Amino acid sequence: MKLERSLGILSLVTVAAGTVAGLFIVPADRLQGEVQRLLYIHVPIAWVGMLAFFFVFLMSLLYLVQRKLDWDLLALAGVEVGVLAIGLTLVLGSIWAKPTWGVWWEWDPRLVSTAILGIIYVGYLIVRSMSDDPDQRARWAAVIGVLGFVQVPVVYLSVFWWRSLHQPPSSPRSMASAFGAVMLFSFAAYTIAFAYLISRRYRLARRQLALELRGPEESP
Amino acid sequence: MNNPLYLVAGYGITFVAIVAYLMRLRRMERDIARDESTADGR
Repeated sequence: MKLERSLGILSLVTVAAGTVAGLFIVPADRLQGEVQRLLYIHVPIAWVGMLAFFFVFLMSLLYLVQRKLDWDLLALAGVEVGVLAIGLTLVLGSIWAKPTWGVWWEWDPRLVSTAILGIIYVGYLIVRSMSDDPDQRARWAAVIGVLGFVQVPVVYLSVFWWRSLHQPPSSPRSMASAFGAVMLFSFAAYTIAFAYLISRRYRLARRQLALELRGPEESP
Repeated sequence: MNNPLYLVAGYGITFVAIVAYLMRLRRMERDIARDESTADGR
């Protein structure tokens, strides 16, 4: 709990510092202008989404091997945070695309595969809600958590496999040092922030499950 | 490309979404605490 609180404070401080650096300290890109500053959140949040789904893959695999509900609850927390991240990635990409490409949306392999990724994990949440039996629910979810991860490398490699309007992956290494430093800092900030969200969601999921296992109120 | 509204929209939506998720977690926490105290009382 104390660690979680520290993680929360650290998230707040690093995300705020990354925002100030991305918006006010680093200069605007020569070609893309001010709108390029959106990439300091778009790329790290996309990274966090992928990382969250890798985490879900590992937790789902552990559940299928050990059948411990704790793994399932961690996977659930990862999916919620991953869906939030992928949703934001698409929205931010769209806001960046309008002034850069001239359109809000394009049926581009990277965009479509990212949208499919989001839909897979929304499906995960829907499937979970279809069963009241914690073990059955966890089993179904874990299968999707493992199989759904196949889409993550497809998203990453889509810009290499197909002719894509989307640029190749942006990373601190592909940018000039000042831009790269802010990008790297934002990667760290959003990774910490989403780890905090996963930790909080997991703690709540444990309490929810404990209540569920105590059963409904008995009639007098 | 230099219209600040794109930046305001992007950063604004991001922070609103994260705060909304935090508020959802807080609401869940309140509901769980209520259910726990009801369950302890019976």
